[in-house]
Order: sequence, then structure tokens, then C-alpha cells
Amino acid sequence: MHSSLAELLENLKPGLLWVSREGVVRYANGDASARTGLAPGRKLYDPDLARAVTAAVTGRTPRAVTAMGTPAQQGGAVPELKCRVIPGLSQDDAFVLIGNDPGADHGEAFDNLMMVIRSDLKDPLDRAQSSLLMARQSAGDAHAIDALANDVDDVLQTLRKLIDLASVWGSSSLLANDRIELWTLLKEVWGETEPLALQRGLKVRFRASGTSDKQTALYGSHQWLKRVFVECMEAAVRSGRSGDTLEIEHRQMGPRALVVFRDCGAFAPPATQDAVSMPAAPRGKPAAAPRLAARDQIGLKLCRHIVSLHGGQLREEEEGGLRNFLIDLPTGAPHRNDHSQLDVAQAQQYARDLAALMSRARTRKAAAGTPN
Amino acid sequence: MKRILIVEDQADIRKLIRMTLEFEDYEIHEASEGTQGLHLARGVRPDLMLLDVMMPGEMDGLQVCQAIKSDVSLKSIKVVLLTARGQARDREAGQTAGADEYLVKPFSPLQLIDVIEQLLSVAA
Repeated sequence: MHSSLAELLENLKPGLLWVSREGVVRYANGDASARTGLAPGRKLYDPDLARAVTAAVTGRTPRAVTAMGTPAQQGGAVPELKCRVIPGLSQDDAFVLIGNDPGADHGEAFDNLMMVIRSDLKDPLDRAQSSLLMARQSAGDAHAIDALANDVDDVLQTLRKLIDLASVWGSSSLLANDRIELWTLLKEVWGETEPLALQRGLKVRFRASGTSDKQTALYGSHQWLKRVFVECMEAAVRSGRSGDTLEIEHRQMGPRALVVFRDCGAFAPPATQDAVSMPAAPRGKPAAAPRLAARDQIGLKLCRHIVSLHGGQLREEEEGGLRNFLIDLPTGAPHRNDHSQLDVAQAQQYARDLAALMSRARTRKAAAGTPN
Repeated sequence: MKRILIVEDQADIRKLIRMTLEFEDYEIHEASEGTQGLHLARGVRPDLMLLDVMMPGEMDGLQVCQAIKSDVSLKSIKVVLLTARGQARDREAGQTAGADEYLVKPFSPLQLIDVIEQLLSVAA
């Protein structure tokens, strides 16, 4: 297994088993091994789970099942494991998610992630494989090696984005409360994107509506919000043509900050970026719907998820015949609702000091000769 | 009677602060977000502002503080920033914005009263 994919699966919660149709374990992450005692090469011992795997593989639909786990200590009670079995990457395997409530968010998130892997990783892998074959057959031809290098690079970039997607899915890495000045962030992001824009012969013009807007503050994860802006800016630059000027505008709309990529085609399928360059469909065959490159698809999913966890959204808008791409984020306070915990801590502090506060007020009033 | 303006988006915290201040003799005003707080400061001219740092809206506490301290007619208002962010760089940001004091939540009501008294006695 590719080390990036192994890292991706190891970091997933809840426990994960990758099993064949016959119930032989191909991969078990740490959490799954601890709960089931299973390791690669061993067979599922719980008959209900084995049946659920066969049914999920055959029917290509998820199954929920309760299976027996392995006791945490020798002689301890055998735990019941709530498992969700979902179809795997090919026609003859499945994934088993093991957790307290795998049918809830994690299961759904994992389904989404597997869907991304199935749909978005397949094409780059196929391309890399055929380039590899060509390179072998051409015995060191420079063009074939070049094509292979590009395709392998595409696969690696896609895998890298998948790892990022997996690491933000649980949202715990987004718990930061950094104060982020949007204008400063945009400048940082431009610093990272400028080489790509220069390479592609594009200029970028930044505009802010009003001077105070430059100070707009967001609260959240600096690391991940920066990632969103880098992804969006890179997608906009990649979709532009040499000589284009990309316009990025910052608008403050009440309690929300909007960053508008004006008519740039960011995250738009190739046909809508440049209809002329699309090859004509063969006669009698409907034209296939244009599709984003895998890395853009995953990049967009990653951005949507990060932005939504910050209380914002990514969207497209038509404005005077132009199609704009917008990042819309709340300003001024973090979206995450941890107020209740803070309230409890503050209330406890008050409860501790209230008696002292009252006593001090009484003493002062007595000293001032005021009746209590 | 000294005037104090509380600018805090969390109603419960605002209530706790008001309760604390009511043990003393202050005229208390309240706002629930930054822009409203700045507007009220211009109208009420408080002696002191208790200003939450992270508030939803166009201006957070640091921006309101900057606006107060850079306005000749308002800069004499003492500003106490209230925040859940207690790292050195956050305090530094508060200082840069011109804040007179910085209290990290959860803060003690005794500490709050002490800070207010100290700042108002200096101002008097």
C-alpha cells in the first residue's frame, strides 16, 4: 500500500478494517487491531460480521452489524462492537468501521471520503499506470518519461490533498482561535501563489472596498484558512490564460467578509473555462459532462469543509454577466460555539468569589456610614 | 457617578459583569457588539469600557479599542480588554491597540473591581 494511503487510513477514526470478500483482513489500523485483535492476513472470526462483509461486497451497499470484539484484558468481558460495513475500493473488498456509534458522523464522513477516493483517485492512477507502461515500452524515451513524471506528480498531489482532507474531517485540528487579519492573510497567500502566477504569465490585482476593510479580523485556524485561500488562488491562477489579470476583491458585508475572485473560472470544469478548447464529441455519442481535475475536486471539497467549519461558505455568483467565485466568512468572533464551557468556568469563578465580593461591599458601606 | 460601558456579545457574561458592578456605584451601559459599542461610547462618553475581544460583527474588541484610542475626543476613556485568549502575543496585540488593562476569562469579580478602581483612581 502507498505510504500516503496507509497514513490516511491509520489516522482515521473510528477503527478501520479493510477486508476481502472472504473476510481476510488486508489492513487494520491501530484502533481496529486493539478492538478486534485482528491483523493483516487473519480472517474475521465473528460470523455476523463476515456475513455483513459478504453482503456489502455483493450488494455494494453499507451494512450495520454488531460484532464481538476482543477483551481489553485477559479474562475481561468480551465487548460488543458496533460496526458499519461499506463497499471498498474494488468489487471484492469492503471496509469495516468500528466505533461507539459508527453510523453517525464518522461513518458518513468516511463514506464521503471513500467516495472521493473511488471517484477521484481512479483516473489519475489509471493515467499513471498507462504512462508507466508507455515509458517501459519506449525504453527511456524523454517524452514518455516526462509524461510519466507528470502523471505520477498528479497522483501524489491528489494523495496529499486526500490526507489533508482526512485530517480536517474530524475538525479537531480546526479548534484554533487565531486572530487572522484578512488583508495580511491575502498578502501571505499571494507570496505563496506568485511563483505559479509568474510561471503562467498572469497578473493579480487585489482590491478592498474601503480602507478599514484591510483590518477585518477573522477568528479560527490560521493554518487551514490559509490553505483555503491558497487552494482557491491556485485554482484561479491555473484556470487563467497567459496575459490575463486575475481580480481578487475583498468586501465587508456587515458581519461577514467576502473575498471575490472575479470571473476567474476557479474550480470550474474546463468546458466552462474555455469552450473552444474542448474536443467535439464523436457523432452519435453525447458529450461527456466536463469534469474537474481530481486535485481540484478534492481541493474544492477540502476548502468547502474548512470554510463551513468556520461558519462560512464557498459559492458562485453571477454579477453583470460575470461568474464570480466567493469565499464568505463571518468576522469578529469564532464560529465554534464553546461559549457554554466558558460561561460555566466564569460562573464557577463568580460563585467562588461572590461571598468575598458581598462582604467587601458590606464593609465599605459600613465604613462609609451607609446602612446596609 | 462614574460611567462604565460593557461591550460583550455573551449576554450571560454581560449579566455577571453588571452584577459585579452593581455592588459599587457606577452608571452602567451595555452593548452586545463592537460597532454598537463604539457608537454608544461616542454618545455616553464613559469613563471606562469593558471590552470583549472576540465579538461577531464588523469590529472585534481590538479594533474598537484602536478606534477609541486614536480618536482625540475618546482616548481618555480607560479600556479593559476581556478575553479568553491569554497568550503573550494576545496581550501584546492588546497593548498595541492601546488597551489600559487586559483580563483573561474566566476572571474573578474581585480582580475586575480592583482593576476598575485602580484605573478610575488614576484617571481622577
